[in-house]
Amino acid sequence: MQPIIEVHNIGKKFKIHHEKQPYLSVRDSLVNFIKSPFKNILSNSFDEEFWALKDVSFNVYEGESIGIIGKNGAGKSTLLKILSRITPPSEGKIILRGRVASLLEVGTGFHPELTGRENVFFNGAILGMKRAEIKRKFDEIVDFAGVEKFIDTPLKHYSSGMQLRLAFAVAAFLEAEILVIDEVLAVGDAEFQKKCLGKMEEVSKQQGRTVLFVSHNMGAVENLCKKSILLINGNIETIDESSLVIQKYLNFIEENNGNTTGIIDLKNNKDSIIQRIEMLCNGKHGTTTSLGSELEIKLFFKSDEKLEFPVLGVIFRDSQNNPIIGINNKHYIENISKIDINKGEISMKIPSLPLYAGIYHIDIHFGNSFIDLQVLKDCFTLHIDAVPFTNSIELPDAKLNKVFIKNVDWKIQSI
Amino acid sequence: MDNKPEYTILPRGKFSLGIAELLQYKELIYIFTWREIKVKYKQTAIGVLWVVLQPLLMMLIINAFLANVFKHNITNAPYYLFVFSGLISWNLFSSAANTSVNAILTNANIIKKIYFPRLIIPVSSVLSSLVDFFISFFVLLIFMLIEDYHLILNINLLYFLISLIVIVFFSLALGLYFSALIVKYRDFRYALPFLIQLLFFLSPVIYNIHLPNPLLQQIILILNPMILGMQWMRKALFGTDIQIDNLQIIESMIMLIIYFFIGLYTFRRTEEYIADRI
Repeated sequence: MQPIIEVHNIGKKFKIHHEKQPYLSVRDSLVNFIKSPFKNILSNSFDEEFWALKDVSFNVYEGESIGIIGKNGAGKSTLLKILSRITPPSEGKIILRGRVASLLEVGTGFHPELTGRENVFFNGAILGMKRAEIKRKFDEIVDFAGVEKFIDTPLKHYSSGMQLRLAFAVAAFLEAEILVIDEVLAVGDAEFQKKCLGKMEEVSKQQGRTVLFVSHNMGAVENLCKKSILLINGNIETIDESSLVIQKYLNFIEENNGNTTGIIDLKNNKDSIIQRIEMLCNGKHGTTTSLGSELEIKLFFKSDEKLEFPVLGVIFRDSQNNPIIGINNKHYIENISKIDINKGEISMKIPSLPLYAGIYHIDIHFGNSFIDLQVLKDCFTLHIDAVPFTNSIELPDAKLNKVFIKNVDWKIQSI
Repeated sequence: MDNKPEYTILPRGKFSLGIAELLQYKELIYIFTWREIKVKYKQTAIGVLWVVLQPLLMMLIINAFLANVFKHNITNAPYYLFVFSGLISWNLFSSAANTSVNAILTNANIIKKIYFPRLIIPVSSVLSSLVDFFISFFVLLIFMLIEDYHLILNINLLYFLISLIVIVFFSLALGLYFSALIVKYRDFRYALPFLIQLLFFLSPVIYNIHLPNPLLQQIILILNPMILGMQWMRKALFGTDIQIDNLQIIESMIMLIIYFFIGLYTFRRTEEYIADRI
């Protein structure tokens, strides 16, 4: 049998301009030209080449679902973008034997002024559905999303949860042979995520369609995908059964200990709103600290659209990936709306980190006051050493404590 | 599996104009156009009337202040009809060119996340402007009916059609060319309205051209296909003499075809990389 997807030696090269401007204006080009007229002739030496993907080859057969895992910046999203024909590869060849529907984001093209019904038709059409097809499935879609009452109300009056449900519902009823899905589940509440996973399981296992699935949720990958691909720095490290690949990935993270400098630089990633993230333990960049110390996270962002109220969310997960703390600035400061900035810094400082000794993974969510604009799972791995925090030498039992309480008033007195 | 479509993705596809692929996406063109029209008039009290109101007011002002200057060589119709027909045809051209360029930026989110032939965006912008045009054209017909119903009976559909083709293709040519440029240099967002303003004065929108043409005018006539478009429009509506000889028509049409292919070629060459650069 012929594979439904053949990927031959795909590579994607980006040029990094050192001015690092999102776009050029003619004036800038002129000024640069006047400043150094020979620069254009030698310009190649000023452009840095960066291969987001290199020599990636694999085959996928009909009905298979393949997980794609790897750290942030490993090239997963670039691979999906090439497969969905959004951006061309720099080298190599791909043969697709079937329609591709890509879900790189739920609700692409949703317009706040249009009603739910109108948005379903538009969204379905850009995802590749025919009008007759949407009409046929319309009731099912609305039913799945649970928004019957509001279907003729403009989308701007929907809650963000309702918008999300409607968006996913449209996507869930796509009839393409190949589904390409990127981290759709990073948004929405737990219940909704479960519903999405259930629907995706149905699509891949019962309807026998081919699914490519990028996620940081290892549980979901293992559950949905028999085979997985591990990408490291734009190369395929392994293609194997999901459980083996996930194990390998976890080992890889453990060995490399994630990021230890406490600085993540995303300036070279063109799609990234987040420019840079810094983690400071007791005022110094790093990822290792001790019980009860100060932790600061700074995020620098730059966005094409103005942000009325930037929101930084931070989730701490333990070594089993269970969330322990999940907070954002909306919990603490009022939305003093209309800040309206494109570029800025948002930071949080916890004077005494209430996490007990161990290894914690930190997810960063960045968004406006309604939705996440960008999510970086496993951004940092935080090591907290068990150093006594008072003069007492004794430490609380690690098995009993996940949370650390620094200031407790104890009293002992005889009566 | 044999009946399923097969796609090959290569680093840089063979160059094609992409018309065949565009036709496969007919429905998407329709739905983009439909959305554009819907969105434009949502949350406006008088909605679609805006399309008519703007040229109507312009016509009243021009008729009040400039009629005496320009009406001396306009014979077949009253000056206000002449101006109104000119303004609505001009609006078709300018709004089609402007919206197709801006649409590339306003739809950046969709472009970055989903594949479809990018040509759909300028094409559907032009189509939605065409819908606006027909609404105001309907108002023009009413005026003509009130003025003298013979005017309507004498409308020449053939000239009307070729005039629309000239206007639409010229606006599409500019729209495509500037959309391609704007992806790299946002400056062109401001350059296009300026160019259109310039062309307004170089086209017979509120005045009629008159023979004999000096050399400079002849050059402008060849370089600016809108002149021919407007003259044919007046010929179709009022039977006005177009005052352009056949050689000039051919030269002007050749220029239009050149513009269109430069626009389309530039757009197609940039298209693949739009998602990376926008």
